[in-house]
Formats: sequence, structure tokens, C-alpha cells
Amino acid sequence: MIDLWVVMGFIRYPLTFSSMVILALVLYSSVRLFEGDARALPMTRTWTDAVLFWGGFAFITGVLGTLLGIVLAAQSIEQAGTVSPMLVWGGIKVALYSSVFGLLVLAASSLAWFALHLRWRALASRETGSAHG
Amino acid sequence: MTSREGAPGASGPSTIAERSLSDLASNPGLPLPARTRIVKELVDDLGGLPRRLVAEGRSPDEAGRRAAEVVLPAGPALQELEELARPRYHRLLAGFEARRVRAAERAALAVATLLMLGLAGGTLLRTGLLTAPSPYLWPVLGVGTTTLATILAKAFKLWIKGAHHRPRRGLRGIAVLAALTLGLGCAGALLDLVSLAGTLETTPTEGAELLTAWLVREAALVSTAIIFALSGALGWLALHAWITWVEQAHAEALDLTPSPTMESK
Repeated sequence: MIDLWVVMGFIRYPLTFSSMVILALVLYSSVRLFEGDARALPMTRTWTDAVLFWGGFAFITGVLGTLLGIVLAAQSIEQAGTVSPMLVWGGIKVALYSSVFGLLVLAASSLAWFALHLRWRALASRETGSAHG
Repeated sequence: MTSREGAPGASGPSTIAERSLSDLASNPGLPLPARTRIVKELVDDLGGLPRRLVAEGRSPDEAGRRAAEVVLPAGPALQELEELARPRYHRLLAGFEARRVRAAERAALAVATLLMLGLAGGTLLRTGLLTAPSPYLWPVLGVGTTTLATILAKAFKLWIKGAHHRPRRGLRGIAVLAALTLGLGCAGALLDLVSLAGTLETTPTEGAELLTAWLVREAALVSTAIIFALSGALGWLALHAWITWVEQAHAEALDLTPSPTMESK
């Protein structure tokens, strides 16, 4: 697992950073939305939506890591002239790791966002209902 | 400002003092956080005084009216308070003609935009990705730099000039520009792929060489688009979160319940 993380290269840092931001945002938003006197405040919604934003950020950063990996591999191939197809596909496989990791982070953050957003909407409709009733 | 239901003992909105607080809270010439701070301080002062006046023997209505008239500034005092709350940028440039200041701001923004463009172009040049670039790289660089320049202009307006009249204006434009940069990069890669397919149809023997060159070119194009789009999206998020935060603080200071749909205004 650590080997996979190391092999992703420089892009592992923004990916790890966005994952940690998502974790912090999910924890913070959960506390704000599930505490006793929770309210559907606009700022709480902004933090909740930020979970999805950082998920998208992680995915796009993962794709960027793959593209940069391909550029580096292709430049090396150009310089070397002929390389074995096994080496080329090996390089592409490694370059795809960051995209896969980004996609997993996006999937997890989307699920967390969906749950938090549902709770926010429930609070908002309860507040609107009590204001009209 | 609509009403301050929570201000203890406050009289109706028709009093001069109430009107001056209302004007202060909605004064577009002052930054939103400064307005919030002033309103909070004044409401706090207003909160204690009526109780003391009632303790001295005045009726609650009269105590509230008297406290509002004493605490809330009006006329020259209000002007002085507004001057103190004005952003430092305005106070520093108070001696200059507004037209010249605006021209200097525009020139500074143009220079910053060109610097960003130069930085992006320089990076691509240094990494050897401009030797045979995709023709779609230029529009990506153009739209991407425009996105960053728009963020810079908005951040300057909000955080340095303190101009908070319609603070959300332009935010959607930033999001659209960031998405457009990414879209242009992806569409460019797709169009280049169509062009490559056409070339390979006529000269299939050069397939491996052309494909490698295409990969490098398109990876550079899409990477550039992604970097610009991510920077734009981060800028948008920072501005959006800050505006929501100050708007919510302002609504709370005015004793207005922040509505769940407040930020869509």
C-alpha cells in the first residue's frame, strides 16, 4: 500500500492533502449538522458543498498526475528511440494509479456529501415548516 | 436591514437613530465586516442602557427611545464613524483623483495578467512542451489567464478596496471560465485525436511515432487546462466561502435569522 503511494510521485502530496481536507470537512460538517441545536445555516451548506468540491479536486488532480506521468514517459521513449512494449504499458499502469486514487476519493466524498446534504435539507425544510406553521 | 426585533427596548423604525443604524448597516461604501462590527458594538451598547434607564425610573418605551437616540450615531458623528471604518486603501489614496486611481488599478491588473501569462508560457517552454504544441493550447492559455485575472480583480475589490456592494457579482463568471478552460482543453484533445486519425488513415506506417507525439502534445494541453481550471476553482471556493461567512455574520448581527436560501441572493 505504501509502495503504491510512493510510486504515484509528486502528485501524491496534493492528493493526500485533498483527502485530509475532505476528512476534516466531513467531521466538521457532521458535528454542525447532527448536534442538538443544529440549524440549516448557509455557512454549514458551504462547508458541506466543499466536501464535493475537494472530491472533484482530488479526481482532477489524479488525472493531472496521470497526464504528467504520460508526458514524462513519452519524453523518455522519444529520447530512447525504441523501448519494449512491456515497459511502456508498465509506465502507463503506474501513471494511472493517481487517477484511480482520485476517483476513489471522489466516490467516497460524493457519498459523504450526499448524506450531509440530505441532513441539511431535512433541517432546512424543518425550519421553513416551523416558520410558516 | 429590515428590522431589529432583538434590540431590547428599541422603538419603531421611524426614529432618527433607528434610521441611522439602518443606513449604517446597508451603507455600500463600507466593507461588510466593518458594518457588522459597528452594528454589533452599537446593539451591545443599546442592550445595556435601556435596563439602566428603566432602573432609574423611566418607562420601558421611553428608556428604549432615549437609549437609541444616545447610542446610535447621526449626522457628523455617523460620518466620522464611517470614515474610521473605511478601508485603509481608500484612506491612503484619498488625495488622488478617482479617475486616475481607476486607470492605475486597470494598468496593474493588465500587468499582473501578462505576468501570469508569461509565467505559464515560460514554464511550458522550459519543460520543452512548446516545441510542437497543440493549436488549442493558445485559447486554453488565454481563457485560463482570464480566469485568474478575474479572480485577482474580484479578490482586490473585496479584500483591498472593501467594495461589497453586490459581493457575489462575478462569482458565477469565474466558475464558468474555469469550466470553460477545462472544456476547451478536453475538446482540443478530442479534435486533435480526430485529426490524428485522419493522418494515420493516409500514412499508417508512421503510427507509433505520431501516436507518441500526440500523447505528449495532448497531455501538455489537458494538463495546462487542468492546472488553470483547478486554480480557478480554488479561487472561486475561497471567495464564495468568505462571502457566505461575512453575509451570515452580518445577518446574525442584525438579528435576522440567516435563511437556508440566503446565499442565492
